[in-house]
Amino acid sequence: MLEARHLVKRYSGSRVVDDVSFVVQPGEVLGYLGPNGSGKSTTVQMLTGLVEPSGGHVWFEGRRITSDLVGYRRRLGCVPEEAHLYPFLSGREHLELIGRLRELPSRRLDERITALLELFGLSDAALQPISGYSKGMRQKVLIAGALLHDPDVVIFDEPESGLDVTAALMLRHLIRILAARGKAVIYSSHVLEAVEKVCARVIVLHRGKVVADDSVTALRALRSHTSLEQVFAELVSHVDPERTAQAIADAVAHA
Amino acid sequence: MPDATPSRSGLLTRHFLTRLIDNDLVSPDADAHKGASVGLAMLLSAGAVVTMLMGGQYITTPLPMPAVNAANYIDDALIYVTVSMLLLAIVAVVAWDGLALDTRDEAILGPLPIPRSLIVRAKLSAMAALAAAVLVALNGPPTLLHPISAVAMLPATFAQTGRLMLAHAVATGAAGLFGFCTVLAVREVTRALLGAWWPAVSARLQAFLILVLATAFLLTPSFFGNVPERLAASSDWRVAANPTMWFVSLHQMLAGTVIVDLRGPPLPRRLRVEEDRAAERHQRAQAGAGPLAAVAPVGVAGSFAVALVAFLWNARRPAARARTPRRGARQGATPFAWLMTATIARTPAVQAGFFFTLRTLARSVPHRAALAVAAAFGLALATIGVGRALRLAPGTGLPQVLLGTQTLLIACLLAGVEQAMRLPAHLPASWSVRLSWPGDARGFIAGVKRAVVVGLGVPVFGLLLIADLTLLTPVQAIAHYAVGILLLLIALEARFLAEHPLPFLTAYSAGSRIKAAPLWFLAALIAGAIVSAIEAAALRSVVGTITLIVVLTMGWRALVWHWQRTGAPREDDLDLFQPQLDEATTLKL
Repeated sequence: MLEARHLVKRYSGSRVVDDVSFVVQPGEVLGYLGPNGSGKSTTVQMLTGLVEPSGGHVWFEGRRITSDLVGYRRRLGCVPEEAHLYPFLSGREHLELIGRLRELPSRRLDERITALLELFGLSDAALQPISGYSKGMRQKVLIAGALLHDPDVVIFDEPESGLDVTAALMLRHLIRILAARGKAVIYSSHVLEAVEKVCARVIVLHRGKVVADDSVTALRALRSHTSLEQVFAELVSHVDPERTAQAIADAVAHA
Repeated sequence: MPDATPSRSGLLTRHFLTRLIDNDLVSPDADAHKGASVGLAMLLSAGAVVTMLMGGQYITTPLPMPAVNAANYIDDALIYVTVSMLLLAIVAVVAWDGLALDTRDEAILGPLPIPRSLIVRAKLSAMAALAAAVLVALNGPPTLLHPISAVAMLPATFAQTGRLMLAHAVATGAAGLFGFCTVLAVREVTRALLGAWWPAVSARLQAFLILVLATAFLLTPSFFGNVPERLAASSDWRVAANPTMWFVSLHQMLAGTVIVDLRGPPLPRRLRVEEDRAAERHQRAQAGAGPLAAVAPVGVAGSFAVALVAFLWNARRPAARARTPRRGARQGATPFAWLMTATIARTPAVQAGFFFTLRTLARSVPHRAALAVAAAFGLALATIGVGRALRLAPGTGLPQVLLGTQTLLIACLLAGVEQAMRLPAHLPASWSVRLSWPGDARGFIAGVKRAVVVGLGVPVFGLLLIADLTLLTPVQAIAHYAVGILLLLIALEARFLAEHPLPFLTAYSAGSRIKAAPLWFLAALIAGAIVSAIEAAALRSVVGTITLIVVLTMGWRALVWHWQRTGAPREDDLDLFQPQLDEATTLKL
């Protein structure tokens, strides 16, 4: 359904994303893992068409997304990494703006917004300016905005950022339900626990390159580890975290 | 560590000073130092040029007359005092958010081991430095040059000239300080009274003060002249209640009779009569200035004390987070929103453009400021136009000056809208609009145009309608109102036929059109004269009125039809976003 073919993104000569390819099918949740600066968010921006790849293409249902970007985005929902929203709008007004631009009929839009705001626990703050929202509240507005038009493809980039435990649990259930309803879901994160519980398949990215692409179970079996965290550490971590922590503490103490 | 405190204090003061001059109202796309340098240079050069122009009357006369010079010098004092007071007040309003410790300051400085008193002192020092810099730049050249030019042709000593300089410096400085402190006092007292509700009110109060001060600034030329007579009547409450007259009086008391006491050359009889009359005017002004001059220091001390106490009161604890009414998500659309969606904004894309425009113009500080300045110009012109129309003798027919005022008001509104729509509503948030963009700009832009008419044209022309009803018949006034709305619609359609940014969404690179303002104003004057002549002819009869409205309606509809056929959209309107998205991506990386 959604396919990345040999995606490359260069900034000032350096390859931020280097030859990344994968396919996400309807009903599948693909985990996209990587440490900070590994190129996860850049990949997400290319998948949404916000950033043009330096090489490679994104395909949707057998066509390049650039051939009908607007048509593709009508079927796409995205929760970006940074919760940038218009600070002078209220949560409800932001969702109205998004829904209207997506040309949802007024009555249906109103019903969906009301329902989503209630379900996300934002009813009381619905008419307050977003500038007064906490990070978690902004994240909920982003998630509601991404689902407002019932998209076929949903991309989550660090969606649990700022969410409390209950909301994060609810989000994991929601992702499973979306997949069960035939949506193709990409879940980009560095929270290994969440990826392990939500995703059937995982891609691990390190310095822009794919270093692993398999099911969570297969990855664990292949590396003879009991958790994805250990697999991840082996694949991308070339320093000893404990030793680095010790060095940081020592550096501060002797400063 | 006794030596550490001064350096920390200096560092904090510089930090706060940068924050005062680096805000979106002054320099949305430039660095603070550049903005400050340009601003101060403009003040210095403007002060010098104006002083030289005003000094011409004293220098170019072949027969200098001390009493006439002295009387004119009092007139000049009002100009300098008023400009100093209003400009310093405007500076304070523009630096609004930097006038107190805000939540960002609290978040950054709060956890650091810095005594709160040190932070508060640094904030006050930064404000004092800003006010002092503007005062010196604005009043420095006139303080040095104006007294010299006033006595250049007369035998004044250094001491006498120095006394005039001192009077000028004290009066204009005190007036400027009064203006700055009054704004600060209004801000801090309101903040103290409102507590947690302050953030919800702050930007609105700022926009209101910009509107009031800019309008007052633009209207000041109409209040100049006959200052000695007004000083002589200082017991009249209208004079006594005017702060500018306090500082003119202070100036007069400090300058005393220096100029009038100078010996001029022998004068012919006709000029001697004029000189004697001027001496009497000066004498009466001098007598009337005494009581008011005493009010000036009290006013400065009072505004300073109130501002300082309120500031310290508010600074004793961290800034409050915004609080707004908690209302449920189930609350339905307001009657206004319901009416608009049922009538002029029926499709989702039009609704998106319509409501986004209204909310951006009403709530975003830079957009509101751009509109407030334009509205101030418009209101000043309207006040002058209505004032002139009121002075016309009854029975002189339709006051053309009143009819032309509406066209000038439209020009001002369009200039404000043009500037506002070139400012992105919030650059980092544009991704959300881009991802949900319907691929056709027409609906969104149609919504923007309708929002400008409903949100600006209807209420602003409504204000003018009140004045129109006193000078025109009800039918003429309403027809004139309708003509104004139609002209605004036509102007907006014509604007969007040309190359345009995607309103509130395209990046800063679209740039400012401030350089074109004089040409725009000239064009507006010519258009105003032509339109008012046509309107004056048409409104004399019912047939003429109907014909004019029909013609304008047809012209508007023709432009709408033309725009819908040819005026965009492109195949993919998303390229209109491109500049800022590249920029945002680069910044993020």
